[in-house]
Amino acid sequence: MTPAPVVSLRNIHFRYNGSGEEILQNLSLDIPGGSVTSILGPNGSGKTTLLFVMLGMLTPQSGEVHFEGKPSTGFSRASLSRLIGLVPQGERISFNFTVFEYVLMGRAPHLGTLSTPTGLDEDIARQALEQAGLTGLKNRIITALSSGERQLVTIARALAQQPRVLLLDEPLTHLDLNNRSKVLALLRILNQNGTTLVLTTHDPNAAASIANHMVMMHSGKLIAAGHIQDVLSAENLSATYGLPIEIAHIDGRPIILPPG
Amino acid sequence: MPEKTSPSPPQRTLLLFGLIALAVLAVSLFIGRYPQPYLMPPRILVEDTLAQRLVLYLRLPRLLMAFLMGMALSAAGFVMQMVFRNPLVSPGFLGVSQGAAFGAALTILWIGQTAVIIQVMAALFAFGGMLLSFLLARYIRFGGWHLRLVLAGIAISALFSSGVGVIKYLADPLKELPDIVFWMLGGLYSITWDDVLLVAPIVLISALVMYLMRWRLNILTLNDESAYSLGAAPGRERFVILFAAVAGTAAVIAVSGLVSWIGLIVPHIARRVFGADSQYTLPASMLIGGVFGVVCDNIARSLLAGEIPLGIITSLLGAAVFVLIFVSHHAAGKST
Repeated sequence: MTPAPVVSLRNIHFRYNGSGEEILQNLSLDIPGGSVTSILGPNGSGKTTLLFVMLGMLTPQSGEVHFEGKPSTGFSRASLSRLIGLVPQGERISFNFTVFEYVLMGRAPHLGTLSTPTGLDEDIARQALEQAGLTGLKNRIITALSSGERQLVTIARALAQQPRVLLLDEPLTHLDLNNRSKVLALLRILNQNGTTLVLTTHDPNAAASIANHMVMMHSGKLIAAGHIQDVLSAENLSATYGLPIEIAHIDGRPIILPPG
Repeated sequence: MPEKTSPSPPQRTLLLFGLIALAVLAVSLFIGRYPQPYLMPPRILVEDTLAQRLVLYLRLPRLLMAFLMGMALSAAGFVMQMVFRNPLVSPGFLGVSQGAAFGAALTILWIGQTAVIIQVMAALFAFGGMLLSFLLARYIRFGGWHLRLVLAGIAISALFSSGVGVIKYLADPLKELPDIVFWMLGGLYSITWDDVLLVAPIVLISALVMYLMRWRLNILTLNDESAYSLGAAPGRERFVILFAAVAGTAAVIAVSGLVSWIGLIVPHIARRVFGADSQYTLPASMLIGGVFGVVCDNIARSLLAGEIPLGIITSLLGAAVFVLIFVSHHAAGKST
């Protein structure tokens, strides 16, 4: 039984500036509430574009986007940002914000345009830091951190935001094994607490290590979408990457083997 | 949950800066060249009616204008540095300074030296410079919006700058040219209460808009998708706060001429004290900028028997502070 979708896309067509090549071609899919959905595809397959459509930031030329069963047009900027959060890839931070100041920015959806954070917001930001195991880095300058620490800080910002759906753009790329397992552990706790997770990745093993649902894409077209047991097949993976791919199982965990 | 070694809360430091600003304003009332150079004994203000009138009708409006000027330029510089994510941006970029200079020079050449007309034309062309920069940026076909707007600003500034060159070439070298050059060096020597009453509302409203958005500004420095995911409308909100910054700058430049460096330097000083969080660094920039403006103008009007163009003082002091900041920054970077 699949829970009600929190995000559903119907017949999405998208191209940048309304011209050029179509990045998303007739895409329809549902993100089940409470799931961990991995969007899998090679570089340039339209994963990030799809994520930005789900965020509501990019408006498709045709097709429908629904959040929790309601059309996307019925949401204000603030209400949508309380529903859906984003952990962006490679955020450029140009000023010497401390970790705490940056995590506190996650409270913006709960504050008016002209408001400043309250003591309550600061408490929530502190809790987010603690949950992410970052309390010791609270007053450090964020630009001086390692990329793994920065990824955790960006997730802590999303924790402070408290969205019901969290989109993550390549959250496991460029992380060493240690930070990767920290990020995975944090994401599992988030999901257990009821947050729906959607993450893009070009690494099928990363996708299989946490996701229970999967969306596979190739050049803006949907290859397969559904429960991981139904769609994680050598055939679908080969179609996604355009390569003959095999799946081995070690202790019941699927290990994806590229050729060569 | 209080921190162990908590530094004094930023609000308290801000309050201290506010008190310092008031003190500087009060002391500056007694600085000048009457009845003797530099300091006027306070008792003269009670006894001498000429001193009373001089302080009330000349010094006070000029001091207030110097404070407003420093405040507006520093706030605008800070906001632009944040929004463009570039610490070397100054408020006059985006064609604002060169636009104002062109408007003023054109007026001096064609219409004459009437102060009010020069001011209005300078303000109009400052805005025109900004609008042209935004317009041109829409047509640049590569780069993110930061880069497009910066490139457009450079192009529009260059255009107006060449226009100023043409006007200087055409101007009468004995009558008009000195006026143009003097206007471009900046100064507050002719400020009256009328000027203050004209400029203050614009500067204060623009400062209020920026102040109300002081925490939001942090969000607007993030990547577009990040700002969007946090509920902001980055394009629209950046335009609103930039518009407020340019409005204050244009109003001030129109009466002061091109006073450079304040808007570039003061935000750096504020960041050294308060860090990156614009919730505190923006109001700090306003206060420090106001004090910097008053101090520079005090020097300009009282150091020598004749008026020194304000732009010369701000450049000199600004360059010194600039070097100091970055030399000490370098040293601090090494020690940690």
